[in-house]
Amino acid sequence: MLASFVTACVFTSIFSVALGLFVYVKGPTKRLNMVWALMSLSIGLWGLGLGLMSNAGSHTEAVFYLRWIHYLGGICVPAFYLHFISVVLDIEAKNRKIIYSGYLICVLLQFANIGGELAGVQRNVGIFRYYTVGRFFYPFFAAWFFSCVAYSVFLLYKHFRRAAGKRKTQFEYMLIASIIGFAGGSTAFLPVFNIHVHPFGVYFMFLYTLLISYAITRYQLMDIEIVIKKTLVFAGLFVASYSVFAGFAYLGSVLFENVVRNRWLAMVPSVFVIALMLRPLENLLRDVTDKYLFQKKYDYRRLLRTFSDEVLTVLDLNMLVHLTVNTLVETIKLDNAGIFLYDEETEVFRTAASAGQGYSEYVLNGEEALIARMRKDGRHILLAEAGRRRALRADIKKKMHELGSVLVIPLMHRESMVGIMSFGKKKSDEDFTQDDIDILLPLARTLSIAIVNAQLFEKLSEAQAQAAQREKMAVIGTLSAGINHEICNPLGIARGQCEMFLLNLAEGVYKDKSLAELLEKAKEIMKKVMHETDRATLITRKLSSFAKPAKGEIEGNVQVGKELEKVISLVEHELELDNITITRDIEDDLPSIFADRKQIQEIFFNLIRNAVQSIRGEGEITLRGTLGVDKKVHIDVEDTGAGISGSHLPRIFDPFFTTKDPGKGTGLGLFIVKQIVERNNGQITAWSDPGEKTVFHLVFNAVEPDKTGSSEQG
Amino acid sequence: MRKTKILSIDDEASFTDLLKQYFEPRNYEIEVTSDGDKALELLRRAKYEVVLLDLKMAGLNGDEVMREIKQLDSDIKVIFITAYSDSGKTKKRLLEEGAYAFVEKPLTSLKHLEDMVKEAAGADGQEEIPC
Repeated sequence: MLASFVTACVFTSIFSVALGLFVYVKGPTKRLNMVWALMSLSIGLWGLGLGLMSNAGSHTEAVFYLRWIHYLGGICVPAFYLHFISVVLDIEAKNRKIIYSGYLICVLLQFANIGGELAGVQRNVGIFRYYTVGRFFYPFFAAWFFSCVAYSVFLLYKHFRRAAGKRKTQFEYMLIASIIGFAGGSTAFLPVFNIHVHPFGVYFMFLYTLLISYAITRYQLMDIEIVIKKTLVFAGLFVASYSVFAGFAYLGSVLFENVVRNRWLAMVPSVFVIALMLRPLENLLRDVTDKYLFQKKYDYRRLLRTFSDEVLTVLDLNMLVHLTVNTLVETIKLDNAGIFLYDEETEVFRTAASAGQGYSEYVLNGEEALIARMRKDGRHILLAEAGRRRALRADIKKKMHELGSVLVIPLMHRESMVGIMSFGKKKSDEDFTQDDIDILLPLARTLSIAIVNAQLFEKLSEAQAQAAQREKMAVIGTLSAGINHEICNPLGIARGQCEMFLLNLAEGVYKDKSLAELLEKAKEIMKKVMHETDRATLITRKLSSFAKPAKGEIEGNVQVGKELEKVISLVEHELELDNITITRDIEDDLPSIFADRKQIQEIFFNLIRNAVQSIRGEGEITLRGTLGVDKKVHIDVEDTGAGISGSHLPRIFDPFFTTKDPGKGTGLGLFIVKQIVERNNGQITAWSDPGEKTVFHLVFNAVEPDKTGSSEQG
Repeated sequence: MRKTKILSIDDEASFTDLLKQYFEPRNYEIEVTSDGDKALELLRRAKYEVVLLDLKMAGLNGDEVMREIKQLDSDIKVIFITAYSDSGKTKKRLLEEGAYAFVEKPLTSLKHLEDMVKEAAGADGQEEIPC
């Protein structure tokens, strides 16, 4: 019985000091942490002194424990507690006098204690070997102790009732811990006042440390987090080791009571067992604390970090906002979340994405207090923010309730607010902590940039689409003009021929003609009609072949020289008749090119034919093939024809653009050539010195010499 | 009866050929050319009542040809033969500058063109805009 009491005292002492030290280490410069550490230390002294005194071997020993440990600590507890609570409640300055008087009383009582006027010891009180006996100042001490603690707890309770959110929860834990601690500790007074009740409360005192530890881990009590993990592991190990030892000691005393007198022999098996289990137990405890207290949180933080890295790369605005909202809801486990984006046209913030229960379509007016407030300071609004200086305006609160939101973060880009992120409450009912906000704010900044990027990209794509549409319309415009000219004209003429024949018949123009002559006339007209309809057919055929995608196969061994020769052989005769000479200047070791053989022939055929048509009278066509410094194959088709005037040059690759005499060219030749060249990953340009020469310059990708296909095909 | 003299300026041979074949047996004197300079030359040499002028010809601008014709003899009626896709703006401007009428190409009716030529020849200085 005594042993368990001593154990409880020592536990309380160790836990308390350990917790105090860890809190202190976590923020050595903070008043709060310092005061807490001092209070913990005094509780530790009090507990240790109580334990040692109650089990002391002699009167002198007991008196020493009583004065220099038990009451040295005990007297300080209420003063430090009052101070601590004042710091926690942010009323330290206001309570300065009370705090100082507390310390003054504390000092006076210490004098009384050392002078032996506070308390002494007496033997055999209940189960205790020695226990406190009150002297002259003892009632003052007890009264002061209770009033000080009661006042502090009252202050805490008052603030607890007024507080909200995380702060309220923190106060709640502190209140419960205080009550458990002091109620438990107070039972130690009972035997002093001759109330013969065992101070059972002392057994539960250590619970206050556990509670505070829990609140620190869960609710960032005293702005501390990680530190408690070590305390927990340490405490767990301590409890386990002690249990093993106690277990063996008990077993030893029960089983071998008569054989083994010295219970310290239990140390021997204990050391073995403890040595064996220490490491795995430490790991186990660390895992358990990690898993149940931290892991979840860190998981989502890591996720959010990764996410904010990835988010920047999403260029689709819609996808970006939906991805963000869904990720937030999933990882933080929110009831709902939403992103509102600013609509420049209507000057309102509109739901761009939302998840979870709540709104899917919501419009926030620019004049809304919520918007105005964030626009003004660019800061987030947390519905229940701890330590808020000013209460939130009622209309802002109302709006946030309406949105089901407990946290709104503005998405700022430069000076303007591009949107708002709204966070509903966490499914766990936990509040948003400073750590959450520390993660969410950079995420919001990243997201703002991503949103602005995506919006720019959207505008750009729109502009591009519009440009493409305009281009298309322009091509259609050119095409329709071309079609009109190339198809309607022949048809109009064919019709005119028929109309004329019929009118001539009707109006008697042919009345003097014989039937044979009339037939001859009809034959002539029909031929003309056929010629015109053929013209129209030809153009439609060309158009359709152009519209059809070529099923070209790009080969890697197309030799420009060879293909040119093939084409030349087709037109050579015609060239001779036209007095056009053709000169070849193809480098011998010109690499092959990546191209479609048939299409390359088509390109050359068209260009040569084009050159022939532009030459009036005698002329010369030069074909040049060289390997450029850019390691590409450059081909020139040069003619001494009429040339292209500067104003026409930019339009020569347009469909239906022609400077040739009607009937001689459709205006599709060069347009098609350009399409084919580009399909073969080549480029074509042209320049002209009217009256002198015109050059069509082609560039194709060369095959590297070692990759030149060995399968030479004809 | 005096034949109405027509000059067709067009670079499309099959079209001028058609006009020639149509108008000749119908008591018109028709001359065709695809060359602006040659047309002016012809106009200087003889009196034509009606000119059928293609608005768009390779290397030749219908506007300019009309201006020169009008300088030469403002009584000559110029009927523009234009592609149907030509904009109304050009049409309006040319009518203001003294064009007599516009006929869309491709022709839907030779008869209609003949009527217009007749009307132009008979209008005798009275500028009427039938379009």
